[in-house]
Amino acid sequence: MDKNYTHINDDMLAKYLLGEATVPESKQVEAWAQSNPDHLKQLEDFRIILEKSRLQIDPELNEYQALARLNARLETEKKTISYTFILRWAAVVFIFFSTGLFLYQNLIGNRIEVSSGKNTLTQLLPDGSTTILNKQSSIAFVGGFFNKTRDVKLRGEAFFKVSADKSKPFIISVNDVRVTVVGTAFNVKSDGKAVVVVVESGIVRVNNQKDSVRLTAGEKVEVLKDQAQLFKGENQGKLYNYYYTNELVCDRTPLSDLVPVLNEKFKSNIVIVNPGLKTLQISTTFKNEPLKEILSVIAETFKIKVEYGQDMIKLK
Amino acid sequence: MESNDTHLIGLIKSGNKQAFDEVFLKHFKSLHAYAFTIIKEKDDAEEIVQNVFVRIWTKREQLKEDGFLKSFLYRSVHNESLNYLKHQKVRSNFNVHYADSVKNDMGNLNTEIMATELEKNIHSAINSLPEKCRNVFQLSRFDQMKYQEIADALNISLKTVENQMGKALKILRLKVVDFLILIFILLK
Repeated sequence: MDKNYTHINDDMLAKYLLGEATVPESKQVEAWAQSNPDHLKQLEDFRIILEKSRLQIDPELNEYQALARLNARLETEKKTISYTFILRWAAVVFIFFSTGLFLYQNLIGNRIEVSSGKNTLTQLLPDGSTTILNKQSSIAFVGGFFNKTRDVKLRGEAFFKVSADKSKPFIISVNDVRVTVVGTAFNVKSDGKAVVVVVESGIVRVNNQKDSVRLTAGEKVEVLKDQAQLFKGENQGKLYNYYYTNELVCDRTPLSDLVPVLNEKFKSNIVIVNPGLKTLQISTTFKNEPLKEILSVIAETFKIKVEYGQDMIKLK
Repeated sequence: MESNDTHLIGLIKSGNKQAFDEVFLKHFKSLHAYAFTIIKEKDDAEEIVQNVFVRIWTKREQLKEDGFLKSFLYRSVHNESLNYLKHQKVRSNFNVHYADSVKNDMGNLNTEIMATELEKNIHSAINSLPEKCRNVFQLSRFDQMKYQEIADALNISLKTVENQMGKALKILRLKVVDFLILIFILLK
């Protein structure tokens, strides 16, 4: 910059262009601009920038009408906001409850422990399976999402109709025997000495610590305590299910098999005195008949005698 | 007069609708004009200002009280406008193509387009000025305030206003120098 104009700088030019400069200052700026085309160019550039940066206010604009439009929009916005607000909370509550329900069903709802007393008990299990407990029996069931299996601990006797679920085997532990099923109907009976499994439909695998055996419909296995090998056999008749069908179905059933069932059902003490009678086979179905009637049918069939003694009934 | 604005932020924050309306009425025209310089669409410019004010009202709890209200408003409108242009870009690709072919037929349209481009460039350059500088410059150019009024509004000395205006012009000139040359040629 020229020596004469040392005090002419950007600040001064701005002042001049915006009408903020004093009269002597303005005169100096004008003289400075005329002294050099570059100076003039700089001043013109500043002028253009200042002009172009001004806002062109639209004279037709009405801020009050604009405010009315804004308020109308705020109203509708408020509604959508409260709507989304409600929706959001509804979603939170829904997730909360469904999670709670899921956890409840799988942690608490999927456990059940029942025992039958003097009567048989039909119990629906949480997985949809059905079990019918004979008298004086009990089971504990644990299933649900967090378990890989459906575990049942059984004492006594029960019939199972297992709902199909291949991903969760249904495992019954009774004494030291484990019965694994996927979906089928079968009977498990246990007392101090032995466990008897009879399959009505489907396939069941039975194993103890030493051996295992696969049973299909109509087959049964009897496992004694600490038995080394398991042998499956054919089930004669449908004696095993008398307690939930209330029928005694005999199909070439030997008398030695029928008598214990009768003793169980009627809490009686029937004894076969003559060993030769044990192998006699009977094919018939008893329905709700009293013991006396059943015994008279047996007596007539085999031509044998029934002796009613003190606490004991003798077959001769 | 401007110092009241900062006080208004506090009122809006506490849910005072009157204060909100007051701010809107006071600044609507200049904010609209500002949006218009960027997007060149009258109705959409109003929508942009609306968007900014709707957001201010619905999120009023988050307002910062220490800011300078006016420059906050200009900044918000500027960002909203750029957002708008970004969304428009895809839609307008066809239009630009169309406009190009028309432009060749009308040579004198070039000057107008250049002038518009210059304006746009100046405004985006203004927005990238250092904050203090930008506040001073916008009050001068957008609100036609005198140096003394600016000094009072921002609570700074007259000398600082002079410095900031000079600094702003210097920076802006450097940023739009190419356009200025073209404008010069076209206008001659």
